[in-house]
Amino acid sequence: MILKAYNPPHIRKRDSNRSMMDDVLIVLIALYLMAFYYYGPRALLLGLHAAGVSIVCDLVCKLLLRQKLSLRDHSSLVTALLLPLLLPASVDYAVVAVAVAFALVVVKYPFGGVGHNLFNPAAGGFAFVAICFPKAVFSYPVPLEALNAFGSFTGRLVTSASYTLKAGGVPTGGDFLSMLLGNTPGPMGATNVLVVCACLLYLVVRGSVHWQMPLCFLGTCALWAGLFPRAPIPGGASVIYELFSGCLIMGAVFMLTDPVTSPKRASACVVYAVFAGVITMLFRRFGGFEESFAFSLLLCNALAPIFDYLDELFYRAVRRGRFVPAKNKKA
Amino acid sequence: MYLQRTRKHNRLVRRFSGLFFDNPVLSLGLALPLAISATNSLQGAFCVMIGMWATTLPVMLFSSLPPVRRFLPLWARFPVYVLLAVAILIPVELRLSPIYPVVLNSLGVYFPIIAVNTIMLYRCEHVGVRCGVLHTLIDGVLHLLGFSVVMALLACVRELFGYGSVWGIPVTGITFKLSGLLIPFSGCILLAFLAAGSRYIGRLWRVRNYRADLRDGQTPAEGEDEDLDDDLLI
Repeated sequence: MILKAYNPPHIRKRDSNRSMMDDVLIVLIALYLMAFYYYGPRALLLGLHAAGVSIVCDLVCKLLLRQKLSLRDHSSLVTALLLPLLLPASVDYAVVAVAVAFALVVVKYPFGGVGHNLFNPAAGGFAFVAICFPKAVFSYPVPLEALNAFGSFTGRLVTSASYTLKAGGVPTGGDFLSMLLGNTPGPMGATNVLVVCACLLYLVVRGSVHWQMPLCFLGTCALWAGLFPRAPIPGGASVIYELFSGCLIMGAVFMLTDPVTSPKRASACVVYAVFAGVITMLFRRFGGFEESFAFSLLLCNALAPIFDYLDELFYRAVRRGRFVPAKNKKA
Repeated sequence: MYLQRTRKHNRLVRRFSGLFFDNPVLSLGLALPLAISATNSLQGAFCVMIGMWATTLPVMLFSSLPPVRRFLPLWARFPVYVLLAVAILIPVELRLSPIYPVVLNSLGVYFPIIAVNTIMLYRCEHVGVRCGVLHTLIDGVLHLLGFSVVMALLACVRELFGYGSVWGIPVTGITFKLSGLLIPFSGCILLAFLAAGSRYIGRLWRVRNYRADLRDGQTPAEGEDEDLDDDLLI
């Protein structure tokens, strides 16, 4: 018997890596349309700029690695289009370029490229620009206010609900409906909770993501937020504010479910998602930044192979217990 | 002679081991904490370089002295090296602290740990106790030069793009600063890229020489066995 080792994503149906990435691109386009509605053409231009930088970085890295240049691999494009959605619409074009370049040139290709990366590239890129430019990354324009399409943003910047929660206050940016529809200051693509949930539904129906991971992750975060609110508010309100602020839901849908960096078996995914939820809420409470999902995800990515290993040990123990003959079983 | 260029390259590698080939930081992974944490400014890297030169060379020479090689037992060698390094480092620090007080303060524990740096301990045992004084001196100088070059390069890049200055002097034209380059995490990444780059260049050079030799169509002379040829070993 010849055993062949394949790299993730492990796809068993008539799908390909490209079709999975195309599904994600389709839902990202929907998020960009919402961002365009709230922030104008600057949102689209940031996405195009990121896509251009990713193509250049791809070309350079593939030439250095002597890999075949191919237009069929859209994984870098997904990373590039995801990054501006995690940032404010007022961010500089240079910051987006640095984030995309770091994500591809440092986090993805040095480990071997598609299917070999240990860490989620978008999380790595976001973490790097958050450390380098904390003011630019954590200050947001007000939705539906005019933004200049080119150059640096010179208008009014405000803080998001995450900042208020981190400081122990009660967010007053908007009501529940505003938070659901994205009419609150925050990351460009992460505030549209309703659209992000629709994206999750689409990806689950298409089979591009495991449904267990985002559900268990958000459930854990909700439970934690309800039991340990950061602000003097009831548990229910704390759950709403914690889930709807920052990049939590968007990260759960697009970054936590990365098929390359997450565990492979469904049971391992459940444990991994619960673990990621606990770590994320701990980072939110004790971490230095108001939005620390990317940092907690990087930590979880480093530990993902351990979840696979322990899950395999567990299943082997279960199988051994099942097939021991009855007469050999000791009382 | 068969594989002439390759032999010449290998002789060069053996003679100048430590400077570029077998660089202590990039190839052997020695003194990494110093290379990562002390290179966020050129002045800090300079202070560490002074400390390294002041401690490593004398300790290596001491280890190569015939009485030391003959009478000092194996279990006592490392403690003696470290004690000697500490005895040299303390006056060096006292001499540097009036000149660079802020820099030494910012280095924190990374200056005193020069006394237990792995370049010194490794080369003392690898070369000092086996070879003569002159060979040890040359080896020490080459390895410290290699270490200094890497430190200076890393410090220049990190300070230039992190602070927008070199040796504390602002550089005009640098308006875009990446403060993330100043944390040790970025030092690790830059060092990894430098190591990959040096390995790539070294491999290119070896392959170029070997291919040139093969193109010349040389064949081994009668009685010459390439497997036993020292010149073909690195």
